[in-house]
Amino acid sequence: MGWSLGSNDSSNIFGTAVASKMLRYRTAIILCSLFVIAGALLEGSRGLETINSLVSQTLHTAFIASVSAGITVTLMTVLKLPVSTSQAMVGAILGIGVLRGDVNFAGLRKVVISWIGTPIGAALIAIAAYFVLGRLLDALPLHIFLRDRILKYGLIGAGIYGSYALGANNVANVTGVYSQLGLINEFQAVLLGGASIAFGILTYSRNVMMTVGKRLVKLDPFSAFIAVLAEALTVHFYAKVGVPVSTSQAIIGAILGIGIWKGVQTINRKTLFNIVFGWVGTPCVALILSLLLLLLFP
Amino acid sequence: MKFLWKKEQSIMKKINEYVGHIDSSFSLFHTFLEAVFGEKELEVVKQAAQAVHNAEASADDVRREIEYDLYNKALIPESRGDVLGLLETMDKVPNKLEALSFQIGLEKVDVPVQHHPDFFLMLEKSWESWDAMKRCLHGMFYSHEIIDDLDLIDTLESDCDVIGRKMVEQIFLDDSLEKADKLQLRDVIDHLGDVTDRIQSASDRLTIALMKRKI
Repeated sequence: MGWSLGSNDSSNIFGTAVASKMLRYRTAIILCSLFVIAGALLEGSRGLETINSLVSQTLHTAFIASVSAGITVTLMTVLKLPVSTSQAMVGAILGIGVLRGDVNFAGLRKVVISWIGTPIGAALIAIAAYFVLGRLLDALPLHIFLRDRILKYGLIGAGIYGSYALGANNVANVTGVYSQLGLINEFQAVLLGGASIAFGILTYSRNVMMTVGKRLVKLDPFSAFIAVLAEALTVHFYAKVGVPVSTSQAIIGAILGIGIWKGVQTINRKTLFNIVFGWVGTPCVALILSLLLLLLFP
Repeated sequence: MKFLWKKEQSIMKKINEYVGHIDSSFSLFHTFLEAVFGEKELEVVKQAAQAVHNAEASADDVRREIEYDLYNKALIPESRGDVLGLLETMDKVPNKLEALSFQIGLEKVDVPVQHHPDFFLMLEKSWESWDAMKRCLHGMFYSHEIIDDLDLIDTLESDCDVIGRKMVEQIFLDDSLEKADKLQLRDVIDHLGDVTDRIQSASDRLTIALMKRKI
């Protein structure tokens, strides 16, 4: 889980900088890995609490939930359907809860509201940031070299912040179920989770980073910076709230917000379908899988 | 050049040097025209044409150095593309002056005396247009307004067109000139008019680069 999360989600953070050759791939993955681990260690525990509160687990159900989420992510990736590891994990855990009649609906409500709020919040943050920082950048009489340096290091800084937020927000998806059982303590959970995400970034992120980055690089450098910053702020906010959310939906929401502000179409119907499918389809598939696996292996 | 790193300062110095070589191209072409119209010895005219060529060659060398330095990770790729494209468009200006000097020298173009003032006037307008382009370039790098200079470049390009058309009209009404001479002169006047056209193209490219940067 951690490995696939790291190899996929790092593209949303450093994809633009790498694909547009503002930053070397090697530097990007080292920065991303280090700050993912930092985020997991420093602020990953909140997410653990939420994941652990949804459904009570045994070792058997925890394993089934992990496997179901993992299979869902893999299956969706192979079918080239949008997938969020956060939503897959929550769906898988809920499958266990549904079969056992043991779902914490208050916790679930918090999670669902956060999912819907992710792209919307990112869009609003992107609009506000674009307006304020755009005015500031236009007003300052900066030399072209200085302006470009600000944009370049701004994008890298936003990427570092996004990596930290990714670790803080998503580590719960990876090891939350095992910490609930007491197999590992909280510190071990965030360390192991962060390290596995970092491992995914270091070993298998290049292709996705270049593909997603080239899509994002159609944005001008300032818009790319705003998109990554808005995504990082949104994901970090939900890390503080304690709900794992999708970084893909956050970046899509941010790009949509920029498009709305600029009056240009940055997102098409297919992308909007992807967002809605993520809210509903991914958790449903994971829920059904975990139900089936638990029925097959009671 | 506050807050610029050493490499960036070096690039700015080279850009200034590049602009200086194009300045020299205009000055040396003026000297060349004086040599041709003053009916100086062939060797003097040849040396003046060679001097224009040398200024163009020096500009080319510096431009390549700037391109190499920019590709070594100065500026973000989008800005780098804009600056490189602009330099390549500006490079057509000294190229045109060099080509003109060789054309006039090798083809032994005989410009009637009554048209000498208009030739110099077109060259001066082109030179003034180039000065405005230099200010626009400075404005692009240092972020200050350039709208007046862009308008001036437009105006000077139109002025050159008017002067050129007037000269061509008078040449073709002049019965003392052979048809071949008229066609040759028309060609030279067209090429001289191209100088301000190329400066205007460079200013259009610069405008697009600035509009892309605006948030």
